[in-house]
Amino acid sequence: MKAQHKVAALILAGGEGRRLGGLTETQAKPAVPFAGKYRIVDFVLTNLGKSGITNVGIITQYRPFELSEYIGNGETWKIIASFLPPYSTREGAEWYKGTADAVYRNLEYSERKGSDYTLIVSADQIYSCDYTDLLKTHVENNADVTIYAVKVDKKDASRFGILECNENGEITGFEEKPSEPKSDLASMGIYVYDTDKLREVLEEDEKDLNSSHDFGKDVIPNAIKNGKKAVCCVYDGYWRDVGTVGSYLDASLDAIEGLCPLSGIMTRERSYPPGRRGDKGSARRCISAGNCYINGSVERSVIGRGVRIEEGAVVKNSVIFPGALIEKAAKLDYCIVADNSVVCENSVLTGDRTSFCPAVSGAGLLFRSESKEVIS
Amino acid sequence: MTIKGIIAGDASGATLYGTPLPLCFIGGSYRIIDPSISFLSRICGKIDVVCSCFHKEIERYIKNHEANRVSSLVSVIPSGYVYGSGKTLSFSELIKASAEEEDKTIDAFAVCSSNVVFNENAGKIVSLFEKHGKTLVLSNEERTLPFFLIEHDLLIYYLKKDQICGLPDKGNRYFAEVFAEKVDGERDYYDMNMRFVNEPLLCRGLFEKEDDEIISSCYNAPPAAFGENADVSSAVFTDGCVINGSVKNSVLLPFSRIEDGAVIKNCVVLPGRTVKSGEICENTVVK
Repeated sequence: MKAQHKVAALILAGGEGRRLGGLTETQAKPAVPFAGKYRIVDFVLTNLGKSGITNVGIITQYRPFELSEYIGNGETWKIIASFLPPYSTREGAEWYKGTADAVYRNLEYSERKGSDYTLIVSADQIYSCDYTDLLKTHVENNADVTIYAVKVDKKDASRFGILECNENGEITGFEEKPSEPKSDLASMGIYVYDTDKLREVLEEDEKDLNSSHDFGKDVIPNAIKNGKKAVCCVYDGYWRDVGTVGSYLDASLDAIEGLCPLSGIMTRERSYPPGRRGDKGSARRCISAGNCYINGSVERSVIGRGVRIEEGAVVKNSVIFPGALIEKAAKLDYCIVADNSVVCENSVLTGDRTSFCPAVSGAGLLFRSESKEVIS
Repeated sequence: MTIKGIIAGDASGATLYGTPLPLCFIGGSYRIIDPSISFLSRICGKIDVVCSCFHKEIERYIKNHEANRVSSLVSVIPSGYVYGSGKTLSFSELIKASAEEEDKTIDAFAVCSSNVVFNENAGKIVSLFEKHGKTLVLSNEERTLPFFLIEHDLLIYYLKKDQICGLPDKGNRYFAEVFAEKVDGERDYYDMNMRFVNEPLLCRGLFEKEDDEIISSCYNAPPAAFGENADVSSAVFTDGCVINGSVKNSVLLPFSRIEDGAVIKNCVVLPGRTVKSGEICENTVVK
């Protein structure tokens, strides 16, 4: 498959990530650090490189600088990255109106690469895969669209776009975030189209005045309603959408438990000194990137690059982004501490599973979840 | 002043625990060759690592080195060693191979061995050399270090007369204030690694200086993972380690695993090694 067909990928990386609160205040969601040394976007970029898909267009809109600087030309992941921000034409200039509009306005990228197929992927998911199976399913079924799907807990199903399929894998129904899900098969928001058919579909969607120009809300349901051949390919590995603070924390805790696939994920980094544990330090059930110094107590947490945890500090159920300093005797439970922040001596910051302490990236400030009090 | 760096990559073909000596890990995430590369990268426009053997291994490592991130600063020059023939080139022959290639655009050469661990302010060394000229040898109170700066013509002259080995005795000496260690064998290797645990401030001063830090090559590994029963104090650890036992006063090199119930004290655990449940290791290199 890798050698037989030309495939270009379009990564949807322009969303604001409002549900991640302070974590996306200064950077796009895909650039948010994850598991100590990675960024969220590393997962999709690694998957693309591993699948031999080298032509990768990255659709950006919200705060793209950190992301574009980080990805650069894509060499780290063995891809050729092109950034696709909104642009003006003779007709005027507009922001992207939705995921389908963003792809429509950048489909020329895929066409210019001479791609037979266009793979549309999100940049806010944690999983490790090779897209070859997905592409093979698409070609063998001569489908109009093929959707990557994953089985989820029925109780969580109402958070996703839910697919109904027949025994041949053809999709017979699709509901976006249904209150009463009819199946446990969730769309991963990853689609393959023949490039020429994708143009037809998106041109129709552009003309539709009632459309919000979104794949999940408009394009996929319309395709199924209009009798297009939509096929499902089931992914059976670890997968988590990290679009919300809660799901981000869940995925981080999964990484600690070894559930989340980190081995083989490529990240762009420079060389760093090793990590150190002081004589007063202790760490249990945690992951810790290089160049950190731990002389406090750490339990069930993710410790990023260059983090310092001083004597007497206690960090539990938390994610500490690179470069943060946790001063003496500070106590953190269910916190996310942003990069280069300082948690002052004796601070007590306690969140819980659903409302933990988010932080403002890079500003050296920290919000308490209960009171929104700023501690500097 | 245009300076070319020459690192004698591996004149002796020595290995430690099956790894070419210059590529052995020290202090967690560095290799023995890194201090030489880091120092020369601050004063040289080009660096040749000349090797009589292991050039493929060294080349593979250099390819992704931080020093080569922006431009190809460091190259590996194999010097015609034929594997299995038993022939290795001498230190001076290696230097000659690199130096004779260069034309007059090079003002001076900075020559050093790959198995000396040191760091010093590069700008200071160059200004001393410019002031005193001809040759400058780096040494500390204990020994003359296998590092010198020499003018282009003078190096060629000594090479022609085959007097390069005695050169350090002829130059102006500059005494380095920081420590410098030569790593030649297992004992040196263990001691050098343990200094990162026992003398962390000294090692940080040597390796993590703000403007003169030691740079290395990235390797792709997940962050270190600490399990439910991990009990770790005074230790250096690296990406890829998995720790679920007791670790005290030790250096854990990449991808080492300490299983639940294992006890490590005053040890250097080599890359990829597993200390199994129930094993107790003390004062040793875990092979």
